[in-house]
Amino acid sequence: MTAAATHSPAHDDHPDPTESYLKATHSLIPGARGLLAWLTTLDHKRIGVMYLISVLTAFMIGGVFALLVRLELMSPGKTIMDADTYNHMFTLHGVVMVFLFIIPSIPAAMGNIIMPIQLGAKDVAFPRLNLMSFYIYAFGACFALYSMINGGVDTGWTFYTPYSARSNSFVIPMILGAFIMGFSSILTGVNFIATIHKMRAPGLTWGRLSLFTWSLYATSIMQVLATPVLAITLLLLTMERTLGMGIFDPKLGGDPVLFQHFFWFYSHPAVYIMIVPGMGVVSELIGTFARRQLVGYWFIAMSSIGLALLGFLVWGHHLFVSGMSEYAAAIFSALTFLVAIPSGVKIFNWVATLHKASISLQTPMLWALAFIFEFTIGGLTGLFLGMLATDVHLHDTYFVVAHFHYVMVGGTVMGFFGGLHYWWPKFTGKMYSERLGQIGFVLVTFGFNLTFMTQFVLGSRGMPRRYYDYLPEYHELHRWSTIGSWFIGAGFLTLLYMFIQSLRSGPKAPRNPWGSAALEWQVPSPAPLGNFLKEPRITRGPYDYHLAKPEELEQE
Amino acid sequence: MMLASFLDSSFFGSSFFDPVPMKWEGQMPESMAVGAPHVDWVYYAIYYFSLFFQVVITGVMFYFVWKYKRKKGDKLETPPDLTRLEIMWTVLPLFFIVILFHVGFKGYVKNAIAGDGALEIRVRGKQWLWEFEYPNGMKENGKLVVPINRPVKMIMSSDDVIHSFFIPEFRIKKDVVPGMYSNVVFEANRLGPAHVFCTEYCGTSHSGMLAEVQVMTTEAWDDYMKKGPPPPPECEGRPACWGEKLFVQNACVTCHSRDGAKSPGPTFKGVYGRKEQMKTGDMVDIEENYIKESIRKPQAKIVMGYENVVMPTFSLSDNQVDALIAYLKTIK
Repeated sequence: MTAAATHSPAHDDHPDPTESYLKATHSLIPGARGLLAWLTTLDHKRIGVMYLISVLTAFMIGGVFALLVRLELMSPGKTIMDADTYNHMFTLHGVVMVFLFIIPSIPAAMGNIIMPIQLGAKDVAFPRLNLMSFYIYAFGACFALYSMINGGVDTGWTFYTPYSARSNSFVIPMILGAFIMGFSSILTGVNFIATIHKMRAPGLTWGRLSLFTWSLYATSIMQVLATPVLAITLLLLTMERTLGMGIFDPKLGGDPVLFQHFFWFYSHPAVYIMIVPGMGVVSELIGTFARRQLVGYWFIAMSSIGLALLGFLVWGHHLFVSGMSEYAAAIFSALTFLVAIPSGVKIFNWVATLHKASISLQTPMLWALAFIFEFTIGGLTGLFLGMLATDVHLHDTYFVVAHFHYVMVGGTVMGFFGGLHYWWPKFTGKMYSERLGQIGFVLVTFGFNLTFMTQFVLGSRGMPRRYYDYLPEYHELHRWSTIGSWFIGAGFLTLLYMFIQSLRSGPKAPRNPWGSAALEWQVPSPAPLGNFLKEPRITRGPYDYHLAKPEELEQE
Repeated sequence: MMLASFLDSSFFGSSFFDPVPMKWEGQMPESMAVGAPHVDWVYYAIYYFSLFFQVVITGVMFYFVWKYKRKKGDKLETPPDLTRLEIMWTVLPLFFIVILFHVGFKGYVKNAIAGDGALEIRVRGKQWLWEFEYPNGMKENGKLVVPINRPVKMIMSSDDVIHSFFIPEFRIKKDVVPGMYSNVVFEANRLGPAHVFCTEYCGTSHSGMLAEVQVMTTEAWDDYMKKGPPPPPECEGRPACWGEKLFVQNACVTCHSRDGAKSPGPTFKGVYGRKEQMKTGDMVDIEENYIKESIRKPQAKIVMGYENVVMPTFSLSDNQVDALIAYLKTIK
């Protein structure tokens, strides 16, 4: 303490915990400065920012692939690329968006920055492990990048055998990339579970935990339990390709459908790994911008845990037409319907919270409301696919493509951008242009619905997915879908411009720009290195507006 | 102007296949099989159910947002105890779910159970074509003919990777997996054309792995089985025209070039009337009898230099062989 008074903090081995985390850091190498201090930081916020930059880069790359895929589908036959290039494009779009962007997006990037502050903690339980998780992610991403530079893969992000065992594209580096990134996911999960159990500030009971933290808790459990199965599956596929082991190849006595069971045993929980954190963000946004205690706090919290558990029991609904027995299909269908209950509970509680609330329509809230609208469509269209009779017709058509984009983009991506707008002042200490935020929001949501609403109709009318070419009758709807994708692109470019403008010349953010009662808004913006200026004692929950002191809600 | 023609899109090259048109009834393809109306009924039931909930949820949400928009002096209160409401909207959906599951399962079982006395047709999926084999041994690629009002069971296998057999007009789909047989049953109840799509991604020409379905009257189907496929109407009286279509439909084109370029099998440029040396050393005239034998028994006389290439056997009718010969004569 006395040392901090006599030395400049940046030169010190013991940096000042009250200094902004953007200026001072704990580092693996004592006294490191500049870029080195960032790359070797042990501070959860800086690690989160590094994740944030990585996932946003991945989102842009994946977005370019998406726009190219849509442009190719603008007209039947060849539009801009040949069939093989197209097959690579949709595969890369899927792989980049799933493994590099959406899985780490909310938990590893935003969760890392915000969750320890919401717990009243100085850092996560294992800061060194946290930094290692980031480097494992980066290492895995290098393999994926290596595969892409060498021509990429053409197997679809699902890597189904026997095609993936025979394809002459760069499958092995890509699956090794996914394999390695899986470990990052597992370690982050372990770290978060330990943090939530052990690092809560005095007075922060389980009933005062933020719903975002609850959602990360549920997500972490899934990451720890499901990801190893993916790792095993991908390893077996690698051995099949390199050593000719016959786990999946029928010519060697294997079973190709076994791969699908293994793959979806991970990848279905992975869908909840992607969406549950988005739901957590929306709960925070509703609480803050409606200034009201969330209706059914325990129901929302437990529905996250419920989704995490149910997520492990429904993988078979991806295999309804794969030749599974009718009995198995019936059981998986019934279990799949159960997912509707925790999802519905969340929607009902969010809407009920708005009743008699004090609602502000600032940009983050717009994203939260859009989430509720789009996710409801995504959820309800899931009923068509959980139902056996209709799934047989809709399976592997554009209906499925539209459904999971409504969940993943309409849900997770909207939650991610809502959270990014919401916590941006805490991350950077800057405000952004509300007007540009609104323009970007309108462009993205309009374009999104144009792009994917048309795909529901394409799908129910029989258009199969992953098709390079199509019957002329599908042309009209494909064209509208492509036009929609340009609005999405324009919207995200607007937001990119807005965030860069904010970093360069945005007005200084106050401590609590939204007048929120949540704990992270009680610390300065940007957050100080030690998160709290003095040890916090928690006396109320994050949404207890009726108990909050007026100075806590002060917006200046 | 440029943009207009771009959006209009005949600007770019068009599709590589020349399919039969696809017809729709509302959100679904034309219904052509006995199982289809139930699927459609379920589809629309759940569609209106979802639409209702979507409108209610969004409506209530927007109403609250409008009604409780932030004003100066809003009191920050805590919501009343809503436990009963919570329990209601947790339990009530269970009832809906049970009903939905039941309806969906019924339709699925209906479509999954084989009809008695079903006609069995063998289907082989290969990258990237569908081969159909009928009980009398007749085989045809890229075209499936079925009689109306008779249950048909497709017994399917794959030679390479996973494919999926989808006829949108019949609302049926089943994966075609290497190493096992899978099957799917339907009973067509409307005459006319339908489509087979491959719906499991299978590589470069996945989207070209299509076949045409023709639902025929029993008499026409019996006739087809006896005489083999008739020439398409646009080739009536022009065997070479039909021959060219068969040449493409049966994928001859992938192994025999027509312009003298090197290909896996001998080129067909100027093939008719040529003399070729066989691997046995004999010289053979390429004329009607040799061509017919080479289609039906490809291993009988192999041209020197092509000993390592195995050509599959093609079971084409006499008329089709005649048409192919007529076409081969035109490749100069």
